[in-house]
Amino acid sequence: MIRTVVLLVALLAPGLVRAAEPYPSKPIEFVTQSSVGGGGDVMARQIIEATKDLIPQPMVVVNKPGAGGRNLENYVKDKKPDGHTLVVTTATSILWYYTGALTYSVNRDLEPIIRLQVEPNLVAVKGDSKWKTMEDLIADAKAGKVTFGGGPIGGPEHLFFHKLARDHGFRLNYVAYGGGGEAGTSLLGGNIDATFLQASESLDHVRSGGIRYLAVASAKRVADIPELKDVPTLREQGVDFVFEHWRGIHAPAGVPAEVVEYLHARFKQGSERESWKKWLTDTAQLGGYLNPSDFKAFTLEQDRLIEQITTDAGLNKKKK
Amino acid sequence: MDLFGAVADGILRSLTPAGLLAVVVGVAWGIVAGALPGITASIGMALVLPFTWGADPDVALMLLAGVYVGAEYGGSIPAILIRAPGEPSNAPASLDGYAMHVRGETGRALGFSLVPGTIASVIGAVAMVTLLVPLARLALAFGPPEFFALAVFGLSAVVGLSRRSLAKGIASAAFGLTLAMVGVDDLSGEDRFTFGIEGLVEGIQTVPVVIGMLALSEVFAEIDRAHEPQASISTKVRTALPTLIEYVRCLPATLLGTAIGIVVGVMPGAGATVASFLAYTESRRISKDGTRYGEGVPDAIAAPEAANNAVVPTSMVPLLAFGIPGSTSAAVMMGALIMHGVRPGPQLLTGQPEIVHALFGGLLTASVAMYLLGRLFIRPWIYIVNVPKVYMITSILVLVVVGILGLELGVFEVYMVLVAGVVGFLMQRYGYNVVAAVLGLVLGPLVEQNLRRALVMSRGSADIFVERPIALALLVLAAASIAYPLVVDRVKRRRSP
Amino acid sequence: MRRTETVAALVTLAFGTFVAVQARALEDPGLDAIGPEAFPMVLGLVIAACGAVLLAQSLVPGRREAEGDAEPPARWGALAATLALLVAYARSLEWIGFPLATVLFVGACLALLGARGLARFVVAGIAVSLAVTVIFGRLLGVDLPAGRLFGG
Repeated sequence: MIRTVVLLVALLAPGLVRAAEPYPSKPIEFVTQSSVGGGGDVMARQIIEATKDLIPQPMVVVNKPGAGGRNLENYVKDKKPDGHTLVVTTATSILWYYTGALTYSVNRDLEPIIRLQVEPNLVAVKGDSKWKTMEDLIADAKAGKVTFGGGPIGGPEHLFFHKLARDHGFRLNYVAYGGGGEAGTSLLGGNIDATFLQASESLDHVRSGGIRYLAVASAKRVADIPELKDVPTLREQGVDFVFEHWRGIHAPAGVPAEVVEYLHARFKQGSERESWKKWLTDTAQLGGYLNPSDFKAFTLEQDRLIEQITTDAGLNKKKK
Repeated sequence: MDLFGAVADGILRSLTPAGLLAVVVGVAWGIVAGALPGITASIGMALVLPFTWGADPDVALMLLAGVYVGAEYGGSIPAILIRAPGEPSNAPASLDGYAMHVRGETGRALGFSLVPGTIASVIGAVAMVTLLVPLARLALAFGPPEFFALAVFGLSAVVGLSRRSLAKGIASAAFGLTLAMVGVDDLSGEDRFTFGIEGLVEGIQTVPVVIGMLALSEVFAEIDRAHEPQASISTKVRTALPTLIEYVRCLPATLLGTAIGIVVGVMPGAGATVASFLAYTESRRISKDGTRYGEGVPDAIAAPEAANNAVVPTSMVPLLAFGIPGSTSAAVMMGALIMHGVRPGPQLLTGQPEIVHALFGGLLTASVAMYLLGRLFIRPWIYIVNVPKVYMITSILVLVVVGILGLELGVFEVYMVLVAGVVGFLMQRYGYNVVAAVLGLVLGPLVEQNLRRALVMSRGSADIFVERPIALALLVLAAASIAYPLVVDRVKRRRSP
Repeated sequence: MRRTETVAALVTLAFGTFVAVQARALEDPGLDAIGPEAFPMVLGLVIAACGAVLLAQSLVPGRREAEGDAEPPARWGALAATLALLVAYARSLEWIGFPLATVLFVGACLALLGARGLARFVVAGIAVSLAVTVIFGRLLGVDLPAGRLFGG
């Protein structure tokens, strides 16, 4: 009887006895706030596929969507910083800290491993609308004739239009959707007049004439994607706003330096492979490789920028 | 390529050895995944996603299509056997399905889910491929005012659902709507009714409430019924299936459910649960057994199960036409396409129509496979539940907990189920209407958020609901459906003193 | 059973009032026409109104009996015990983990519901726990809590 009990305990509680083993000693989890099929999820699956022959342990994606990243936060909080739990980070990981209920900070609570991709954000209107430039759009918005739309309050779309309205002194009419594709169909159906979205979500509609870009929210024009190379930046049109959708991999703070090095080297190798590059081109995304220290400098800069924008826009919830 | 060619191409693609294998494996896993608590269609699809690496995109699509189709039927199995819907969209079927099972007509209940589901699945797949463009246009025509009107129409059914006490019915629906308000409000960023409890920030999920109010409350009721010996119903009665005539009799309800599923399926943000609830409440109006809904009548299972199966193919329409996933399952499908380097969207139809054909063929073959596999396994399911009551109750309680953990909702949601179970038990005890409450919870965000979105569009004027024909028509229908049962009751009461 | 009807009506009335009062206290950042508080407030008032109607119905004599088998549950004790057991189960998941908690829960639940024989409780508990842990935890990758005691 006692032997059965001992056996059972050993069987049921495998975490009980585990000596220190060389990394990685068990499956590696990629935790993402996007649901299956979302941007962060697909990226994680791609990098896993591109590196599965380089890392001797299975790698799995864990989806923790919802609550503005809070579900992810709660899941990661209790994990040991041993490199077996990784976090897929995006621009909104920093944004929701200021505009949402997120309590963890990318720079304080996470350690960068690699930045893998950057995706431009664009201001889009319906293909047959009369607006050709940001100036046209702003002029009509001042007359109350434009209905803007996008994701929830506090998300990048709302942040952008909110700032635009403040800077140019018009009252914002903003239709907030829960997220995902609803704003896109709403634009195509003519229920909203303008939205702010990522290139991969919209390029096809630009090709078919369903929607048209007015501006790209990058520092300079995007030359690498044919459809985007003639789209002027917001800055060129007198709107000071730069917001790109970057994605990368972080680990909880306290992860050993050699683990960061180990993963960085392999992910970098994976991101140089043809399959990865082909996937980026196929889906209208750009490579955005940064090593850990550059990535750190980048997120610090992002943090400063987003804190400033959200504070200016009156959306910073962390500033009491 | 003409339509006939497209259909033929799709069917041929799914009948290759690899295609057929993918579909059959997909459906088999889908039925199991759908039946397991906590493994929803989208989770079931996500679990097989890694296995599609290296396969052709169309084989991957067929596998996922099979899982999706199978899961919608699979979810009705625990709904009928233990009143715990495998998916929220199977909740309506659990009402009459479980009632029928308790009467000892388990096989009939499962049959009334399987056959209408198969019919709807086939019609839906054909609708998807033949009506892709008009359906896509319909999806675009549905803006916030139309969604609001549709949800109001759905809620109007509460009046018909609660004939015995209108006040309790309305109070129950309003209670469900109130639950839907909990959490961060997307339109203002404000927390509502969270009382500082962290788990409530993201709102009250449908699944724990549905499982709590329907399944757990039934377990409580079962315990309350003291140590009654298990009614000895012979397995012969239990495994008897519906006859052909019975299927034909519920054909009107099946077709109504199918139509609702096709239309609601194409609308991003509505989904299978809204469709099956609408089918349940609307079929009630046309059914001969309308007044006996809830007591275990065939139409009440056929209509919602047809609806959720019809949603499967048409929920692919926004994905194929616009590259926009209309549901989490469609999002998984999109993830699979992107993984295989295929970008869904307007270019897909002109550039790579074979992907659409393959999806159609996969859905069609999967419908047939679902029928055959479903039919084969009706009896084994029934034997599983033939265990002594105390063991059954205990297993259900464990499965309810595992189901919630399976949805990765965490231990907090387990408490949520317990609270919902107690509340649901007490509501039923005192004559309140849990169906109305669940309907309110499902339609709540649709009603409130779209009302507010529409008012942003119109700068605060309610005229927008009158100016848009679809919205106006739905609101008039809603008004009529509220007035009709009240008038009929009045007239009946006057005639019979 | 008129009294239970009155109590139910009062609970409905109180709940509706509570919702309306809570909704009134919500802040409106002024981003849309009616704000986050208007709709919940209407719901609260509707529920309260239903409560008032039910109260009137229950107090006016001679009205037809309202629906439902409105009689108090017969076995409050068993129900409360089951509920307590479920809460203990949920609570213990975080501490001793899913596998062990399930063994204990299944055994206790069977005992509570009137099954006989200690050996059966143990066997059933271990069987259910093992089956679920293997099928859901291992094969399907469900995140079953490992329990803090075991470093989860």
